[in-house]
Amino acid sequence: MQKKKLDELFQDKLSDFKPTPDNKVWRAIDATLEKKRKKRIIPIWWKLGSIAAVLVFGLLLFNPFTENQPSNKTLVNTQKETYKKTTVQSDSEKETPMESLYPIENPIVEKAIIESKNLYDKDKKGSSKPKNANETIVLADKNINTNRSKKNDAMVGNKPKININSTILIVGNTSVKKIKSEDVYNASYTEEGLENSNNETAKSSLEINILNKNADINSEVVINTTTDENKEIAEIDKKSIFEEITDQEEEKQNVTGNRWSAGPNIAPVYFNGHGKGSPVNSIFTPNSKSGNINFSYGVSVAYSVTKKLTIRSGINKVNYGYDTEDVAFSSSINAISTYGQLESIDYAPTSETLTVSSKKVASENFSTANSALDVTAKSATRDGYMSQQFGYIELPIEVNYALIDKKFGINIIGGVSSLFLIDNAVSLTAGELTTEIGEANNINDLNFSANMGLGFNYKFSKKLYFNLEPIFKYQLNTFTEVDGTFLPYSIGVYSGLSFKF
Amino acid sequence: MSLEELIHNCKKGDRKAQELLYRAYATTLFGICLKYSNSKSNAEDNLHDSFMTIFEKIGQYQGKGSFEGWMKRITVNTVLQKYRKEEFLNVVSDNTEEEVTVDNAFNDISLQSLLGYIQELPNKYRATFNLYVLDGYTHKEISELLGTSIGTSKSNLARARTLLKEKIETKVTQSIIGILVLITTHFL
Repeated sequence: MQKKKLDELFQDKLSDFKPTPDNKVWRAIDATLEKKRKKRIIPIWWKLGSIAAVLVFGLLLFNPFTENQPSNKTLVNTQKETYKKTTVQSDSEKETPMESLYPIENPIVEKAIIESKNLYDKDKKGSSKPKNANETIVLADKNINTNRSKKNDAMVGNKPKININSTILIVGNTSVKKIKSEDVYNASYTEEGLENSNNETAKSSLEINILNKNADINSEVVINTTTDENKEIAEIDKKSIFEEITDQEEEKQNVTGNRWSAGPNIAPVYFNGHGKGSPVNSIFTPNSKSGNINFSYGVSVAYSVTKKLTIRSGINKVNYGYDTEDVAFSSSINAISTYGQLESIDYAPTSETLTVSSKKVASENFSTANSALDVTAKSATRDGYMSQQFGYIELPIEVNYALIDKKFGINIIGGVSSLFLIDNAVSLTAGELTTEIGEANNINDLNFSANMGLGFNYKFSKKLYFNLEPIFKYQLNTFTEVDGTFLPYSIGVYSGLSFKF
Repeated sequence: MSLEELIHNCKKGDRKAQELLYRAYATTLFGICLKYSNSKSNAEDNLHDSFMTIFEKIGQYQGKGSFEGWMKRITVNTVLQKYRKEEFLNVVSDNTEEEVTVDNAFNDISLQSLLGYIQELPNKYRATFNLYVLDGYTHKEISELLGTSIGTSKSNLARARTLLKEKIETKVTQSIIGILVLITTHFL
């Protein structure tokens, strides 16, 4: 007997061995893949959603922007009042002491001179003693000059000048009877200090101290003796002014009014799917689909994080719908109709005898089989369209970024929405006849959409805005299974009012 | 759809493309699974797991080398991984004889029977025999794949051959005896 290598025996038979596996293997693979797909989609949006929610919640709880507001406000306000009372242009507040010294000094000097001159004239007419008035002018000039020469050392801002100004006025008014210049100065200063402290009841004692110290500094300047101590005090003064200015500017940027706003909105919403395919059944893949226009309405609440950035949420009721054209349907006996029923629809009890088919596809399962078996099919078949409607409660979380924020504003809007399914219906329409078939069973109860759009607003007043927002919403997981590629989206033009509070 | 397009769409996770890929390669890979597994049902499980790994890692396929070869390697690895956990006594026998021969009379043994003999082999013998004889791996590669030494691999192969030879001869002898018994009883 001839011998053969064992290896060759196996190689011959098994090298090109291609058995067909049972189809259950593919079904199992498909099911596992489907699970993974779902897992993949949902967690990302859950994560993003929860991050956004945590951010909003955190802002509500801690509110870092409004915490220090009250104290700052009073400080700034009293400061403003004081400034006004001492007749200084509010513009000078923004400028640093160094810069503000030159431009403001001269007008004050001029003013002082003019006023003093007027007084002089008056006094002349009133036949009082002119020499004193002249002395006052000279004195004022001298004071200002000394102040100017010492400004680098003393680093004093507006207040000293104001004081000088009022000193001149006071000096002018009293139109003294030979009082020594220093005495007048000091006296007027005490007066000024008192005046200020009276006006600023809300001010802390620290500030009064600063003012008093200013007075001291000024008197020192007048008598041309600037000590190191004064220098230091002046530095402190300078710092506090800087701080106040920066605070004030921050406030101006941040506080444009109230942070919260809310209001109703309504929108016509156009829904359609991108790509070929049908969520109802693969036989409708080649059929043309047309989107329906429905309405969305609800309320929205917004919170402005900064002047430009706003986070908003709300609740909306929205209906979506689309029609599948060129659908033929007929009523027939039960046995046959179950054969022609669509898997993705849970038929209503009254519609169980309906068979639906696509005119575009001569599907064996549907049209051919039915017309062959159903004797009455030819006469009873109606042509029309099938519409699918779904209603959702929508909870959006969106971020608004203001590009223009004037009377007329433009924003860009981006965010996500969670959509909870509440209505679900598939119906057939032929001519004037509409029959509801049942519910689609391949629509997810919870669905997410990615939103982006533009927002235009018009401010009627500080409290009342009108909004117009065209927004595109791309639906992420409307259907559990779609034959073909049907990627649903909606476009809505949301208009509404928002009230700030 | 070309293979490139198919791979590209599978990388995107397109369901239709994944099904097409499965339909195209399921038989080839199922053949591998049957040879490397110890039963048909385990082979089906392993085919499932192999395709899941393929769909998962398809993004890593760079288009270098044969795509079929890449999938085959994944399949072999998937099955071997199942049995890698099982510990075997690494008995190194001296019998590393290359030439194991059987009578030409056994040429007509059906594919199903041969497959059955392979599946009946202990896991490491089966893996070694398949890798070396049917899929052309070297002992070095096998030792790396299975985590054994080259010596063990050679010994495993020899043991596999001996066992297979015994199985073939016994089975055939048994059936011959059976037929003889039938004939004898018929005539008596």
